[in-house]
Amino acid sequence: MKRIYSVRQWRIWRGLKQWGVWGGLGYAVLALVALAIGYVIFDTAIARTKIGSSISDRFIARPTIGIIKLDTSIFSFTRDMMVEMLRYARDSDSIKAVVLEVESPGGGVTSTEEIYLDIMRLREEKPVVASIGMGALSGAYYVAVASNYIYAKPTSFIGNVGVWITLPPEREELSEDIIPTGPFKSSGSSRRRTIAWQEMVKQGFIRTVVSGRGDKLRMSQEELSKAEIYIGMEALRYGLIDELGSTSDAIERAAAMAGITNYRVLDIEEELDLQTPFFLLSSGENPQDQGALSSFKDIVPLYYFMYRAPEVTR
Amino acid sequence: MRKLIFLLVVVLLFLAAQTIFFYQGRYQAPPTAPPRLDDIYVTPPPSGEYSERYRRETGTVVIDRSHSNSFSIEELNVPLMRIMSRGFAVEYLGGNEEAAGNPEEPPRFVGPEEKAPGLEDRLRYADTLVIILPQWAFTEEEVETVKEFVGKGGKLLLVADPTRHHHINSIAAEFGLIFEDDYLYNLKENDGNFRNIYVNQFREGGIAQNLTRIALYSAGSISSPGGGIAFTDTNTLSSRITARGGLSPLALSEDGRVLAIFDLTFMAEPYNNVLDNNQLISNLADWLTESQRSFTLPDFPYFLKERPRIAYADAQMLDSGLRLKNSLLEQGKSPELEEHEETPADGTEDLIFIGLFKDAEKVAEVLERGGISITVTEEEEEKEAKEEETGEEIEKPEAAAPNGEEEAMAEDGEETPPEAIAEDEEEEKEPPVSIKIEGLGEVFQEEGTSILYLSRGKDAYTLLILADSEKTMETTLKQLESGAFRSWLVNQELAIYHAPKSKEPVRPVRRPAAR
Repeated sequence: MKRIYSVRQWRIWRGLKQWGVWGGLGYAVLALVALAIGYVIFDTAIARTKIGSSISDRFIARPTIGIIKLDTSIFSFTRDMMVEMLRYARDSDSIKAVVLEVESPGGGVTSTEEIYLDIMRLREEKPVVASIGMGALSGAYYVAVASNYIYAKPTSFIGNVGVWITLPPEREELSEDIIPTGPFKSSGSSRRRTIAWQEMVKQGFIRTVVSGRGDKLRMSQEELSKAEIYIGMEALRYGLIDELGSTSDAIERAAAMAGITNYRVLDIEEELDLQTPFFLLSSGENPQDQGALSSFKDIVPLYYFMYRAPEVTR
Repeated sequence: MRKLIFLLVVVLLFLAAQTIFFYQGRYQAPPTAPPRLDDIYVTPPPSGEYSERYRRETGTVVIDRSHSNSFSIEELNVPLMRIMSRGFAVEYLGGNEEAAGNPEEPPRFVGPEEKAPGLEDRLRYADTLVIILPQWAFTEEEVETVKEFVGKGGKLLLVADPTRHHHINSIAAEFGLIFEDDYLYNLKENDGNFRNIYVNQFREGGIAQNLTRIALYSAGSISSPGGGIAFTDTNTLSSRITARGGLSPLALSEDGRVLAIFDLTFMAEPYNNVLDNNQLISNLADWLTESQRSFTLPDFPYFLKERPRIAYADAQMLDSGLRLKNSLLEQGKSPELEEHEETPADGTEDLIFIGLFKDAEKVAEVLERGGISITVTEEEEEKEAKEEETGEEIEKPEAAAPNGEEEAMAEDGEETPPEAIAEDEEEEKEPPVSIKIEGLGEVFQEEGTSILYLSRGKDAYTLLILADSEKTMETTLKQLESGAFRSWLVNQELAIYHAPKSKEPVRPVRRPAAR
């Protein structure tokens, strides 16, 4: 049996049918216009105000590029700060990419490796772009190769791939009052074996660089093992970095890799209110580390991915 | 209802605008994986077998420690044991025992500008001198002493290490060897570090015999005119020299008596056990203990073997013979004393002949070898013959009194002072003994003259001590014992001694040794 509609319903139906395609198109145009107006209003008025952005963040957060700075020697204090910043970057929904500003001579091996591994973990979720300042030497370069892309200035110092080591003493002072249970209890190892460890650590460093740079690297492992320093222009030629550019370039690259626009930039160190201790800024070394090092290194070998200026003997 | 839908649409449009505004793509994480590190390992090189066959000899190795040498004796344990097992004695020359290996500790005995005490004396009997990492340069005098030692066949071992400060070129350069200011390294193949290089190219024989491959730990290169013993390959580079390959951390001087090694570490535990290092150390011990040393007169008494024979010309010389025997006993020799019967023709045993000039004919053959002829006048011969017969000293004829005092003494019947008689006799008589030396001519002979002449035989030495009187012989033996005779050297085989006339003590004048 045929359904009976009311007159009113019939008129609406007839109106819509009359409008037909034109009506659909009209609605579409209306939607686009509303979208555009919303875009402009959002960009010009809402997003740029604190209130506006905080309101809009409740709906779709404005993407952020986090800046993490490595601008001191790498020891335990630096490591702790870096790990905290990397964790924040990883956990924060608004941070969509990270730019790592590197300006460091390197430092302790295990601290460097910790930072490297955390960056590798972060990189699985968000792009990391390194921007080298005055220099990324030894351990600092080790950290930089963990990133997706590396920028440097034409005269940045890059490289110094190698390891320093402090050997255990040649002769152990014996005591009749303090007695170990084994010959290497205090030294940890013979000097010869310690040197072999150093070679292993060096090979690990080289493999890390080769793995991180992949096909982009145009230098042999033997050449790398010379531990030479290269300026940015040379480093680009040898594939140690990806491009010459500034931190702004690194930010744009990070944004492009993350697929974001109209982002904001956040200094994570400031955000977390972390402050580099004054002693790190002046000497680049943590006195606590120094104290620990001076006692610790007396008994076990310690390794450093660090640039050390040569001593002048003449 | 329519208003609700409219509001919803507006909100959705707003959110869509936001999304498009901020997000225009997605991050595609590249496959990431940390590099694999669990298969990295460093295998230490194997130990090589080595031969410890040797012949026991006697001799002495002197190790210099008088130039603030920066090494410790413990570092030489391995080579020292090998040297001593070959029968050689090891002595240390000078320096502060506690300061050995500690360059900051000032030694007690010498300063950098002073000659090491005892260097010349030690080198009179040493077969080998070892100089390791001297921090002070050798003085000109010391260099000359060492050169003279090497010239006599003595062996010299020079060792340095790039990791320690040294002035070894102050002595090495004199023998055509230069320790370069570099270190050798190999980035492709090494023993756990780029500075621990392998060397597998050697000159045949000698120090390098039975060597296939050695490992050196922070070694440097030595420049020498064709004296390299071990050579690096093309992958081993120098920190300073641009040449690839053919660099020598071990080298020998042209005469083969000076060996230079530019690494100390390989000799010490545990590095001596790597590859053929032990074989190299054994070869080194063999080289150090194969003495080619010859001796000259200044080296008395060290050219004598353990049991030299002392032959006195006749009973008159017995006391002198006994004196000399006792002196040699104190020096550790076991001499035999007997009256001379016959001089061995071929010089197979060490012989010391003591006699007066009149006895020269008994050893004429030996003197002839040195171009020495000694002629005693007839009068002197008669006098001495009578003295022998009677056992009394024949008085010399009275001389004219030169002054009143002596005349008065003569009238009183008292003995005329021998000095006056001697002076007068000298004025009137010709010398009783004529000594002629080939190449020098006739030696002015006066009372109180003696000669020392050393002749080298096949395996032994003959030393002639001839004097004009017993008194002169006594004085000569004193000069011999004290070493003062070295002031009277004419050449390396001959010394002529003139006793001073005054009663003041003799102060020998130092003269450069004739070569």
